[in-house]
Amino acid sequence: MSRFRPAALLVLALPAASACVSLAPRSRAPSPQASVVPGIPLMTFAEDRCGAGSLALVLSARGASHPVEELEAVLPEVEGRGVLSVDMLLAARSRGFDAALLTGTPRSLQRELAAARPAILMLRLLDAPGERRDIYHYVVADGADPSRGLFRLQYGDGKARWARLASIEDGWKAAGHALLVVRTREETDAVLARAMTLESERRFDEAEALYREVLEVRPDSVRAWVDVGNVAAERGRRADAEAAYRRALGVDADDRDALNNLAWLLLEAGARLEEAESLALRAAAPPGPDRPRAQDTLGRIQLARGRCDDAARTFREALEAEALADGTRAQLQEGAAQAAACPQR
Amino acid sequence: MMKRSHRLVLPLALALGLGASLPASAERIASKPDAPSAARASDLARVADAAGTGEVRLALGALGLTPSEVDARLAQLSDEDLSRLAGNLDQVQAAGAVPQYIWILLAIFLAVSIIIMIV
Repeated sequence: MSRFRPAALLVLALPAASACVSLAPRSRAPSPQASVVPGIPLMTFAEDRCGAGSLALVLSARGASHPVEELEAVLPEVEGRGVLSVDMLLAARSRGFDAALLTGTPRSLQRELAAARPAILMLRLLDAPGERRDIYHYVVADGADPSRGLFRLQYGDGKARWARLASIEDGWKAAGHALLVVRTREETDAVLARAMTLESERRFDEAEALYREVLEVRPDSVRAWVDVGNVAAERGRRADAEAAYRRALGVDADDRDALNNLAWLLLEAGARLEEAESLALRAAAPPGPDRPRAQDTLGRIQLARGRCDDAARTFREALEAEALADGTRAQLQEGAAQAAACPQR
Repeated sequence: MMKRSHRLVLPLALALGLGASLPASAERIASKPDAPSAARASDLARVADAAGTGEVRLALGALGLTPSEVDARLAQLSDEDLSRLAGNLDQVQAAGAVPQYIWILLAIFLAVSIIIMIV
């Protein structure tokens, strides 16, 4: 009989581990300074619905009501395994949110919770022998207690557990510290606006950090890529600036700001002027309020290439625009004067 | 001849003209806020060349997805998503299902428990 006991215990452990809530850490007492995302409910969902359930919980805390059943219907289940982390990310984005699947750290989780944004962690509950047999689970972090190093976790059983990340570290590490962060577009826009303010105050490092925070959750933001490029160019980091402008053009090949600023960057470096002119030509083609600036860039590239007649024509056309800002007009006039005095003319 | 003269003119223009041709305040178009809806359409052709696509494709395939199911996901991910995931493939996982073998083990456990109680 004694021979059976270890085997029985092992067999007991496996199905116990399979239930989504069975390996949840023991809850500790939070301090009075602990805070929870306002208005977030304690939610119960079946263990095989932790994908839809955790996403519904996070979206509801962001002010969007998406019932578990609705999300379950659009979150395809990989047979015998559950809902893909990638599908969770795409489902959040398709509902109008900015989202990212990050490699989480205590600090990044703290950052989300300090801004009253719950986040989803993926944990491995069972490391089973053999391939494709491990069991994973989504949990929601919705509160923090920095003074005691605790985070509030919801496993989907309607209970709140205050625990240290160390208590779930093995399972979180096995899932690559997967952290799904979800933000409203308004929140991201506000971060972008703060970054622009910092940039205008020439606090470039802080501005760039915020631009990159925007790009974490909105990686296809042409504006944020151009803005990162502008900051990098201001700091003299030409390679980073070029990479950022090219990334913006990867999203929108016709974006005037990216075309113009990349052309200007190449002009400043005095390198690849043929490419710079090609970019500036594209930037200067469509109508719009920034067209004269792109024409100014084009004219100066033509000057640098010794094409004085072309430059003179470009500046002349730009000066014909009806509404020109004083600074832009002055620059165009100065460029036109250079073209007129050009030795190759 | 034409090329030769161009070669002579360009460095001269760069050395003498470029500095003078650039205004004191660089005419870079300033940073702007985002457009109201800047979502990018799905584009599988774009991600085909993105760094990390191959690794993520393999990881999704290893989870049992068909090639068309994999492509459907890849087309919606940004270059940064793919790069990030490729750098941490442990995140490419599915969660929330109780595999069938668990129920088999549970049945064995119950049977063993009953036997232990009887013996």
